[in-house]
Amino acid sequence: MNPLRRNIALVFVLLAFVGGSLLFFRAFSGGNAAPLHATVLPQPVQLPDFTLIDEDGRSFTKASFRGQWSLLFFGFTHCPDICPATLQQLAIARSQSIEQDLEFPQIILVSVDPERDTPEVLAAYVRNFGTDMKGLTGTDEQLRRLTKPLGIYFEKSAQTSDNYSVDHSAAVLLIDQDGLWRALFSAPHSVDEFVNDVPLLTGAD
Amino acid sequence: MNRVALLLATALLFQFSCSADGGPSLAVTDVSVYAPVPGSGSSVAYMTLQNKGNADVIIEAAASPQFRRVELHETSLEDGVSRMRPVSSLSVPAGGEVQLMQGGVHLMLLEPRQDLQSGDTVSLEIQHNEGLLIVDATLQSRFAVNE
Repeated sequence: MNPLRRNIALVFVLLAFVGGSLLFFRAFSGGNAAPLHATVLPQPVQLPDFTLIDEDGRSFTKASFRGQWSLLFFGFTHCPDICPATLQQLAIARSQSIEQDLEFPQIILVSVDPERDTPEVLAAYVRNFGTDMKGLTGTDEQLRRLTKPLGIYFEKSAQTSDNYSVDHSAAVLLIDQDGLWRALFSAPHSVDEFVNDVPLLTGAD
Repeated sequence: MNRVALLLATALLFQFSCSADGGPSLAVTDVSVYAPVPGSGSSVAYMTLQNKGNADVIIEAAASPQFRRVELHETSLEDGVSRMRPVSSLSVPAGGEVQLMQGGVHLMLLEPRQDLQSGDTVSLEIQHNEGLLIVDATLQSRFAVNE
């Protein structure tokens, strides 16, 4: 075999080795199929029956989740730090995914401060993060019908009479198109965790 | 007499803890101030506070001409629950720095006096035990677009 033919043969052997190794790696790692940050519930969980109102004053119930995936975050508009940061991260993740032609769930802020977060206040607030972002509110009792069974905590922490904060669970919940709770993202959040994991969980990749 | 003057000068230097070059001890870098999201009536400022002096600097209060109230707050995340509490003062150690950041200590800007948009300039007045530090910043957007 002349040197040229030997080198070409060597290149083919090397290419076959590299290609085979990649296939072997993908087969055993499942590609990138495992979510990196989200906790997938062992069994999908039925949401409790609840009735809230959205930013347009329309009724929103368990049935309203039907037909599309949703990401649920519990927060309030007077929260300057973690709430707008999380909604911004979700909104950026959504726009990055849509740029890659991937479907992304609707984003819903459930207010844990019904006293100040009227539908009008929520409408002005959520539309800053995307025209299709939703905001839900209701009475304290109506909200707790949804949050309590999901293990979402919220409690007012009085500072002064006109100025209070609300302690609240900072997780993001993924609800499927049949209204079943499927996965949980624990805080602190990042854009990357949503960009990477959401399509894997919804099957949009 | 010279000795008294020297002692007095040393005492003053100690009290005001100027930096080695005689300038002010407290400096800020990496300032991020967000425009209030409509509907929220509040916003937040993050920054790194550097103390170039040889004594701790205590941040006592803050104000801004563009907001009715500015408060020092701390967000904590414990067992998945986010909590925000007022902080009465904040110590910046001699020769060290403290970061005001998301999920930690931050300046909460309450009740804007005017409609504020991203691109507008606001002024933050940080009151500390050595005096007043004024920081001007351009408001950033919380919008997803153009981020």
